Amino acid sequence: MKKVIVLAFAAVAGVSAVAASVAGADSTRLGSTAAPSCSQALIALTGPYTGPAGTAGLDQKYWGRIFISNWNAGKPIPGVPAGFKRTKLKAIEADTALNPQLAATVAVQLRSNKDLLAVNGFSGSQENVAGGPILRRGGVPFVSGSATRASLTDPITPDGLVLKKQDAAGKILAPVYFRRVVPTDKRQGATDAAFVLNKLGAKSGDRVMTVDQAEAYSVPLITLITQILDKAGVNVSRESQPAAQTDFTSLANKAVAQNAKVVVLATQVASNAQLFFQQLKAKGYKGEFLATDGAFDSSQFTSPGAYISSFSLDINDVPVAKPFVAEFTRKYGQTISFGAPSFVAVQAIAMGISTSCADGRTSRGEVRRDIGKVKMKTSLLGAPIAFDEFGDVVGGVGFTMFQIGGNGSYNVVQKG
Amino acid sequence: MHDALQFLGYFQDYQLTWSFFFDQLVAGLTLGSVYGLIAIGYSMVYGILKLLNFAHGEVFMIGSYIGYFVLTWLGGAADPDLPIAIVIALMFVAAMLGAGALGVVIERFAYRPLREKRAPRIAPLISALGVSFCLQQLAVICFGSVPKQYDSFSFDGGSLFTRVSIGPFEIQYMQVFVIVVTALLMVGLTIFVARTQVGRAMRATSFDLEAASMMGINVDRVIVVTFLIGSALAGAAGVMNGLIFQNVDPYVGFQVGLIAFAAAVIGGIGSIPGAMLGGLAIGLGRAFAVGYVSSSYQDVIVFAILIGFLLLRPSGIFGVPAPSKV
Repeated sequence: MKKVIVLAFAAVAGVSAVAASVAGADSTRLGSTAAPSCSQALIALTGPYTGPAGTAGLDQKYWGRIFISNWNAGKPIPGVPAGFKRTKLKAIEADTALNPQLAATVAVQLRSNKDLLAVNGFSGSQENVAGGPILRRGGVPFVSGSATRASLTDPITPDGLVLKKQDAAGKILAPVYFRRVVPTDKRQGATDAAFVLNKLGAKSGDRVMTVDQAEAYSVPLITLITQILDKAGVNVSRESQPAAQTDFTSLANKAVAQNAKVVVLATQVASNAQLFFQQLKAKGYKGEFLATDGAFDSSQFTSPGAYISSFSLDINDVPVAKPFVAEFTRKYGQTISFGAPSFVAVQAIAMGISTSCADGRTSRGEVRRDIGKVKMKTSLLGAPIAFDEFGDVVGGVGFTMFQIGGNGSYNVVQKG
Repeated sequence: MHDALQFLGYFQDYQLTWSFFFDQLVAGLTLGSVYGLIAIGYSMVYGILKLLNFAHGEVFMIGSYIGYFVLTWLGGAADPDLPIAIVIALMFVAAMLGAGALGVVIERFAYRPLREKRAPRIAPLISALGVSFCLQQLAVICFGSVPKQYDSFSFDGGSLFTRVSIGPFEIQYMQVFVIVVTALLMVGLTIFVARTQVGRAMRATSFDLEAASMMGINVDRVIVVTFLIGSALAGAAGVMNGLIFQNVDPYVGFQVGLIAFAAAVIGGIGSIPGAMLGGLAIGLGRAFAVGYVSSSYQDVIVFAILIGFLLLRPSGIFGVPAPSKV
């Protein structure tokens, strides 16, 4: 009897493990040794489908799916010229859980799949730092719809050196593999700092608390914001708290005791922004609170009065996006807008692949080259999209500032 | 003193006020209470079985989820179907029962078979890690990985987080609640272990398992009770964590569990009051590190001090040095 019970327990544990791995796996194999096809090209959609940024990651995945279904069906898409010859796509979906180690593992698997032409991702900057060099060594081009860390495309910083080479005169020697359709944190940092100074009223001598979450996205962003505020004479208290540690009480005490006029939190975990703001209010904090784009999740960060910056407009307000938003809503429920740039990132990949397939054959190298040539006169975001020689977006949209309303809605207070 | 500290040029005015010190003290005690309650489970199990039950953090996580689901089932924090006191009491009861039952199941199916087969001590350790990951992944499958929010700031229009004045100091009702409930649970546990027959059996088993068995103590039953109590306390800590820090997700147990394990070691693993003191020490260390040094180095500061302490006293605050037999 005891053996039966033990076996039953082992079976349950085994089934759980299998179920868990299946839940994180995809319908298409990650590894394959066949050659790329132009009849139906294989790409990968990656994102944090589980973990603390799961809501944002799923939004990205669903927008990627919406693009592929419209593209394959030959429907009109903003930025795709009429008569443009489309190569149909199929996609692997891989969860990176906002975890650099997992992103590196996924990158190894994707790189070994000879069918695979390009990757949409990685979502998080820290994931690109970890997984990007692996994709590059496999010759895989990748386009992110959300990674904003400036140094990912800056050739004179360590991240840039990992991803591409440059001679002393600044000429690019190695091809660019990483591109993104969102502006960098240089722009976000400048926008956020200007917002703190001009709209939230922080003046020389005032106290502002800036808080990062001790990872590759938030540290450089908060560093930049801190530098700009410092130069403006603001008395900045720079703080740091790992994302996994969800007690902000001590920081809230400090902000209140310092009489901080503004608290700025850079985080990729929306619920952390919610908790920090609530704990500040519970301590009697009277100042303003600004969270960066990583916290953009209207299901998790809902505290009225808080501000948030985002690289995406409220996609519901973009006229050309309306039919796509309607399709999204019908299939997956309300979008949080965070994933809309991923639609455009997959579109850049699709147009690059289609161009490279003009002669009926393609390769990762050709796709990499042709993604760089993509020029969209408009896009789902309501703005043109192209790439510069470093892989950064040319055109696109800037960072929009939102304030959370009484019903948890995100209301635009400054357009990007 | 104030002038002397200010003369050093390091501290700012607000850091040298008693109210700021008191705020950090309360924040540390609140956080430390949660760590301490979890650490007690580690310590109790280790005291009796010499087993590091790494699945204990996940029991805490499941307890927190149970509290969340009871709260949701009763209408949620913003508009509960019953009076708040009853809702919170039911959350605690359900979480403690559920987590306690889970602890017993884990002991029965993952540890006892290995004990009966006299497996080497490394085997249950690996089994504990396996159970930990299984529970984490099961939580991902069953509850999703997006954090669930208790939304306890909505209870009665946020009244639970209202500040009450004690002389020149202020403290939130919720912080008082967490500290008082922890103290009551500690008192209850201490009385149980010191005054009841089962408690005496637990102490005897902890002292010498084989001798206790030969003296007629049903050791298996004692072990089950130990897992039940330790896990129930973890369940209570899970609800407290949710009420005051809002979020529960499948990964919360691993991080908090590791810190609680460190707390148990610092307190002297096997010692119940030691575990609580260890938890409070880490909570207070973090709060004061953030308040007076830098949030960037809070863990470095806390754990550097604790390593230094363990170098001076390797068996922890209340630990008894193991006798070397020659």
